[in-house]
Amino acid sequence: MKINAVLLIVFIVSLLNFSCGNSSVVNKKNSKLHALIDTLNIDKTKNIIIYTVNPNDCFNCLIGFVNVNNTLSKIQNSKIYILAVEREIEKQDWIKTLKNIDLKDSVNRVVIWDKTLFNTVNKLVRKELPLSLVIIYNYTNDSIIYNAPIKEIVEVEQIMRYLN
Amino acid sequence: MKLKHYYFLILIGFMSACAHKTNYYNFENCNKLKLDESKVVLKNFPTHMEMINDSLMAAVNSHKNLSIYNIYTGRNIANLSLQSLNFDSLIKNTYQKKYANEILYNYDSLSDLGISNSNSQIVSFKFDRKKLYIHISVATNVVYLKDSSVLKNFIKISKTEEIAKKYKEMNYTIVEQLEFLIIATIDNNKISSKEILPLYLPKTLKQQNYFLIYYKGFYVDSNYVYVSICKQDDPYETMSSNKKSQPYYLAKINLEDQEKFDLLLTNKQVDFTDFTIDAYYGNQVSFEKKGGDIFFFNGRDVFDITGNKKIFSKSNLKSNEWIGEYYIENDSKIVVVAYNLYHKKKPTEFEKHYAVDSLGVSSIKLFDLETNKWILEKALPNEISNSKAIYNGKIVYMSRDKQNYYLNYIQYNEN
Repeated sequence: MKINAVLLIVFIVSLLNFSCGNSSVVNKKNSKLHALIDTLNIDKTKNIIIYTVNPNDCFNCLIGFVNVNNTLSKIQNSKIYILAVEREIEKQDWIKTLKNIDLKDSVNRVVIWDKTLFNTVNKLVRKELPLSLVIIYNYTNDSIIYNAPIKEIVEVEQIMRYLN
Repeated sequence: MKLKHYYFLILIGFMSACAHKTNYYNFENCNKLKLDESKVVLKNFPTHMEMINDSLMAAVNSHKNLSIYNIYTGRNIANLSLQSLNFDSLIKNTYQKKYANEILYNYDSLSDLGISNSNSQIVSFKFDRKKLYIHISVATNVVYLKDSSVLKNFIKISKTEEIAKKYKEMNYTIVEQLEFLIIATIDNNKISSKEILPLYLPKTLKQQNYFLIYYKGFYVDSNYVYVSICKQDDPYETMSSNKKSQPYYLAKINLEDQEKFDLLLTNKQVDFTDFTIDAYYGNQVSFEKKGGDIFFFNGRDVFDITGNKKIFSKSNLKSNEWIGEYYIENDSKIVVVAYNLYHKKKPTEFEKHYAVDSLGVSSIKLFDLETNKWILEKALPNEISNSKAIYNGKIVYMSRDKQNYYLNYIQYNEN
């Protein structure tokens, strides 16, 4: 079926030399994100890392997510994790099973379980697929300055240049 | 005038007697049942569903569990997960032995886990003649000991050449998905694993640049496994690009000696020429054995491999119409879940790139193989599972709301 194709894209990518587009850099106003971040108690002076995480994303995407997250964990910028999980029963089950990602709020780090918000934020960057993304957002200018699906990130260093 | 009336009535009677006997069918919606999530919480619709018998349905949930449900109660009666399997020893005794001097397998249960702490997944399954054949894959680090071209090719494919130049010294890790087949039975409400077989790529096939695509669907018949194959092509521009033609589309591999195989299905037998990359990799294929013959289905055509004849042609479908699931009933009818793809007028580059520039509208249809005509159709609701199971007069699917998942089935009856 069609949806299955989406889950298998990364597998095909590795098998077929499929030419993925590079991550794009955008610079557009997004007051919806501004309003969201206004509600959060985090440092807004530096660029903010926003992860939209679909726990049902493809196998390789989730391995990629853990690698990106581990590398960027050393960076002091604020981080927001938005997980595409709708039901409380699912959230509790994920908390039991998600071992490689810290799901607790801490200083300058917020975890939000909200599928609707996940879809809203993904649509802001025109990724209407339920892909896990990395977004770098500048609060002062209300601008998304970088976004890419995890599966298309070849080099984490390319994200670093938008931080600090 | 009266005489004319008699002639007319006689004519009608004669025509009725000569006409092909037509059976009338109707679809009947049955109640939806809340799905039992006490043992396995669903986080998405199952990726694959299949009926075991008239009351039991099996489903792959989040690639973690193979779960069995009673469709009349919604109860989850059995589950199989991969947590208890010792993949380290399994890989050492299979892949590592076979490729002892060529490849080093470094399976690490703690690496390459992703967020859900697992490097193995249940991909799909097939239930046939009281056995469950379950395809699983395991992510493993590999080192090619002799063939340096594999690493060079990997660097080329992954577009890391420029990065390699920049950093000069880099450690590469190649992660491969190793594939296995679990053969299991369902006894006393329990799925019991009986045997685990590695699924190798025969050397000769590899030399011919073919690879196996078990996730699309497979079939085990005695000591043979039927599996789709794909020839390695040059890079494709987008997922909407047309799939390049290849000489064969199916391999029949001897499970007792996996270097022995036959190549089957040419474009003359089953036409793949109008398949895009997305359609070729995204559509499941399926196999059924009926009366000694093995039938192959690719989303458009149904082909009798044993009898070398097409029994359902895509000429009976609209150009934008595809079939998700099918079931041959009494050798005279095919029940299908069909879906029509409607392309967006102005798709974005992103949508074209990922082949998500269309919307599917699905329905259940009944096709009469004797008259070669569609005889019944019923639209299916949106927001239901992509996967459905058809068996013996029933179409089973899942639906959900913000709180629960539900098992639904539709019956079709002959009046």
